[in-house]
Amino acid sequence: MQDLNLSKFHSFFIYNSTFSKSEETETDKIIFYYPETTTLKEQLQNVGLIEALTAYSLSFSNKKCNSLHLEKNRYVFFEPEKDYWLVLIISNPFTYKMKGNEKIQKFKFNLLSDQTLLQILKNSYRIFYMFYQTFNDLVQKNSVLYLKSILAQFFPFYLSNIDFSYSSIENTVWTALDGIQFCSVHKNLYLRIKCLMNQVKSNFPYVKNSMLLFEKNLVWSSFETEETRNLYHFMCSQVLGQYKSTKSKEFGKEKPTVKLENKESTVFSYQNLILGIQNLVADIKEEHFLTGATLIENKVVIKIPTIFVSESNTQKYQLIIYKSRNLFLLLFLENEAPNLNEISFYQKLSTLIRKEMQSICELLNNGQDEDEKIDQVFNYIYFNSINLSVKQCLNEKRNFSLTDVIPQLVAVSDELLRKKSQIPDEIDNPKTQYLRFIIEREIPFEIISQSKKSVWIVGKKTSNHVFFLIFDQKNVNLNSIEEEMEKFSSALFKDYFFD
Amino acid sequence: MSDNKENKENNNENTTTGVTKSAPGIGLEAVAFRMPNQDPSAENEQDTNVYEPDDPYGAPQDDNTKSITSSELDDREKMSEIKDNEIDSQNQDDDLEINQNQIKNQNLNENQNNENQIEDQNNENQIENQNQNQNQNENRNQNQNENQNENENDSFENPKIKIEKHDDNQFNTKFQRLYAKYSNEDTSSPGWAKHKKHFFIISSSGKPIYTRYGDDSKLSGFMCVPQALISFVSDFGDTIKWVHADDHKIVFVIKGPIYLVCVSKTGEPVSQLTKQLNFLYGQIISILTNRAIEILKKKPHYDLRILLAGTEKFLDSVIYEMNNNFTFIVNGVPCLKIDPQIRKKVGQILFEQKIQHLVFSILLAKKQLVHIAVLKKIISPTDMFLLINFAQNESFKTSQSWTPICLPHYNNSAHLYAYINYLDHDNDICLLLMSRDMRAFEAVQSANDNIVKQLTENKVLDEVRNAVQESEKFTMSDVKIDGLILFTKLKLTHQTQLTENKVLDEVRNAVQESEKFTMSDVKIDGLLHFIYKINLTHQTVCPKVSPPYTIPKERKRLFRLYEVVRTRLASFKSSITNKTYFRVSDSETVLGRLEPDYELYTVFSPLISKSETLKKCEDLLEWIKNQEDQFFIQHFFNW
Repeated sequence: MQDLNLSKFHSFFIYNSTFSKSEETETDKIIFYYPETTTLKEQLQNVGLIEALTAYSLSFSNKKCNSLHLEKNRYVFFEPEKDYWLVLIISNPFTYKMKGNEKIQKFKFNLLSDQTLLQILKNSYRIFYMFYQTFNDLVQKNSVLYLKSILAQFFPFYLSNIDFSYSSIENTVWTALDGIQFCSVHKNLYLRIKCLMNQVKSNFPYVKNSMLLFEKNLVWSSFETEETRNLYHFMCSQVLGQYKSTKSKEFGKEKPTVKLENKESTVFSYQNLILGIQNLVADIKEEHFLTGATLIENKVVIKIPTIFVSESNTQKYQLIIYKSRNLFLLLFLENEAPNLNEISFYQKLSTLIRKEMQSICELLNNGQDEDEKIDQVFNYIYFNSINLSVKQCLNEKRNFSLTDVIPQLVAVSDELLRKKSQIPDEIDNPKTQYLRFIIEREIPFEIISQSKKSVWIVGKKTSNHVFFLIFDQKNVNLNSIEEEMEKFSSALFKDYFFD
Repeated sequence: MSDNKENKENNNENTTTGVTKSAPGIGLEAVAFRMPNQDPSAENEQDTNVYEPDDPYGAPQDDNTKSITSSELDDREKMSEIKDNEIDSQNQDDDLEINQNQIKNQNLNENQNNENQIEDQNNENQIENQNQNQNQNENRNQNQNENQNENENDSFENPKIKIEKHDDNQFNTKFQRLYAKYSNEDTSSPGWAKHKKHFFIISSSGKPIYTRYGDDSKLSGFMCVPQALISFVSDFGDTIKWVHADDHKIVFVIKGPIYLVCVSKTGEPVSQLTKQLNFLYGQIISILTNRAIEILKKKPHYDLRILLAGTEKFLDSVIYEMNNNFTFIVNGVPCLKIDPQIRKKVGQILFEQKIQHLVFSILLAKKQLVHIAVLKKIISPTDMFLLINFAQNESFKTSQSWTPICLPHYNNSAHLYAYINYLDHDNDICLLLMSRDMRAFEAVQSANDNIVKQLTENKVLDEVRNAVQESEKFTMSDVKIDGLILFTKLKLTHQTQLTENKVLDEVRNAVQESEKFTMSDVKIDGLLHFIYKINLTHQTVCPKVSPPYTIPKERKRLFRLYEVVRTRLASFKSSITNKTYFRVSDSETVLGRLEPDYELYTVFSPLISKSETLKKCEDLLEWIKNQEDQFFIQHFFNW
């Protein structure tokens, strides 16, 4: 078999059928289409196809479509607001097969997981919402034209940062789990962090919330779980997307610093914001603000982005990010807080937190190597659905290639994490209770599967915990897998609960 | 090409031979054939009610029932004539000569028989009545002519006639198809969206060909949407595979000018749904052959329903089988468990009757293979599935038939001719002789007579019958309902034969063995069900379900579960293939294993440990191994 050509981004578009009232104005319903080079005819065809499908599926159920599987391409669609559809098209991975003298593409149209791709769409909307709120708001407050200009600004940049190759744990299983990687912290250190946060709060009453990240690990957050997840996702995928961890060697290569067109435009530009932050993250300087009062080309520029942390929280925040080596502090200030445009405010803040941040960072960097014993032995992914904690470890000396294992892993995780029944929660109604019981008992809680290449994948789920184990030993049977699992769970849960 | 010529000749011939022989070639030919040496007194009766005098298991004449049915059937013949004329005037296609009369006649036959099915399913009271009738008939027959009453099967035969009489009275209110009760629905009907699984077949020009539920002409607007989608996507140079809409999956299969669509909310894996659509296409081919498809390619606007009229029930029953038959999941061929000596004898008898153009001789019992004699090519499990489903049709059960069928894997462009003879109606023992030559009827018939003679003389048939009854008890333990009744019947058979027969010692042994043959014999605690398939010959063992799976919903769930495991384990085109698949849920533990020689799927109670499942699997394998020669055909007879 020839090498697998990985899946690629094909196109992405947003449409709203209600914007087009007649045949002549048909193009109006396309709000955004990327790549822009796509012919108008193809744009209309794709939009028409999705419109037809959603209408067709309505004759069977009152739920709308999620995905369309073609031989060469996969379409996933998501309707975050009424009538607004986000559609993502991905080219399926393929291999070349020789047929006579001809090279024929053979598509692997079953490899991609709908759940993962849908999550990519949901994430994109989530980030969009953080800075712009809903599509409908933009149209109501301004106009459709304004929405179009915003989308044209946001999405091309956003999409260029996503890896669609579907070849790593990060962009497959992890995306689907949508969890948070925590940093395990000693009690004393935790209290010091908490103390620092309270100090900041008492000195600067406009600071409403705070978050602390150690590289891509969450150390502290004063938000609710859902909001924390959104912010964590924003930090990891956008701000720290290119950030090279000191520990891991698997992250992508560092991008050269991008020169910004420093036009003093009045319109907020997402691209400029993120690129600006990314440049500052990569800066050699150890301690400085990433947003707020930043030093660009020896000039102090004060720029503070405004964000909405989640759809359920209408509170508007101003975000200040402070970096100390590989520790990131996020402060969320009440909107319209005074003094924000004065440098003195940042100087005051900096003097307050600087020393403590340095010492916390020091402690975290030293304590990192301690709890790695279990990671040496097992290849695993762990997810806790209560605090959304994810943890993964893939041994560097593993005997299997990730591209072989990922499809199998995704299949196991899809089946294990299948959404529970859509039956509404009516406790009084014994019939729905019974139906739910029937459906839930079918959902497996343990799956062990062995591939042709003799890699064993174990997926196990208890009420709130899910873990996936990968064993690459050859010539083992279920018995030894059971033994290995016992070893693993005693090691894992010892680490987690009996600190 | 030679086949084509042959069929053309046959076409010409057909016009001269008239009513009795079925129209060969492309048209619809599955017409029950009336035997030439039939008793002239039964002349004005329909095929379905004819019992061959030759047939040793045919029913004795029952004047009451027959007179009623015949008078009613006369009325129906008039009806059919009117309909025929209508259709004849509509039919303007010169390429395809179809004997409309025959289609309609056949439809009538089907009417009666499908009503039987519907009645069996729906009306428990009637079944009770039937049982009463059965008892009455037994008594009466024994009193009336003891000499003629050769064995119990005669008395088992009578209720059939009774059932038909029942149905005849309700003829006007009943429809012919399995899903007939939904046939008036369209998309606006309240029940429409509630069906769990829709199947549609349309042509590339958007003409409806088949729908599982509802009226295809009412749904034509709705059914051409998939056609639009397919052609739209093909404009991109792409092929549509399936659509996921929340709990629904819409799966497309494109076969040249025929598009097959399944809309399902059963949660089955897509690969299983695709497989089912492929089989549905195979069923169409088996009726029309590939040549009809070629014609459709040239004339995309041709209405294939004209050719398929009356055969919807085959598609219906294929769908039913695909969703209920456990051996279908693994693509297996079910085999009857029987004494290897008897199996060998059956094989020999089939093998000895080799005549020209004969390609397969098969003895089936309760949809299971007893033995098969083949010419060179082994029959593929796909063809076997279609063939068994075809032969199961009620219209073949009441008379010996000579009917064309195409086996897509054997040769998808020509028909084979099947001589279908039900030797025993209660146990569904069926002799199938497949010939390549349409004109070989007489030869095949004589071969059939010889085989039947030998089977009965050697008492092989009795053995097969016993084996069928035993196999019915091959559940995990559901002896209470089916088993006990069968067991008493078995004893009766046993006693009546005792007086006449020397081979009875064998029967007695078989009966005694039957008691060992329940799932309790496997003696594996916690094992709820299993499927075992030999990869080389596709032969499969699968016991009858036992509690908790005797509840229809639970049985279906088990069925779907096997589908999932099978997909994960052996999804042929997907790269995700496992050798072992182990899955625990609140309701059961499943272990599937794919080895070079066999596939094994075992279902255990959920509280079992992994090491135990492994051990019990080994036990089961050993248990099967020990009785291998009873479960499977070990020796094949090739001409």
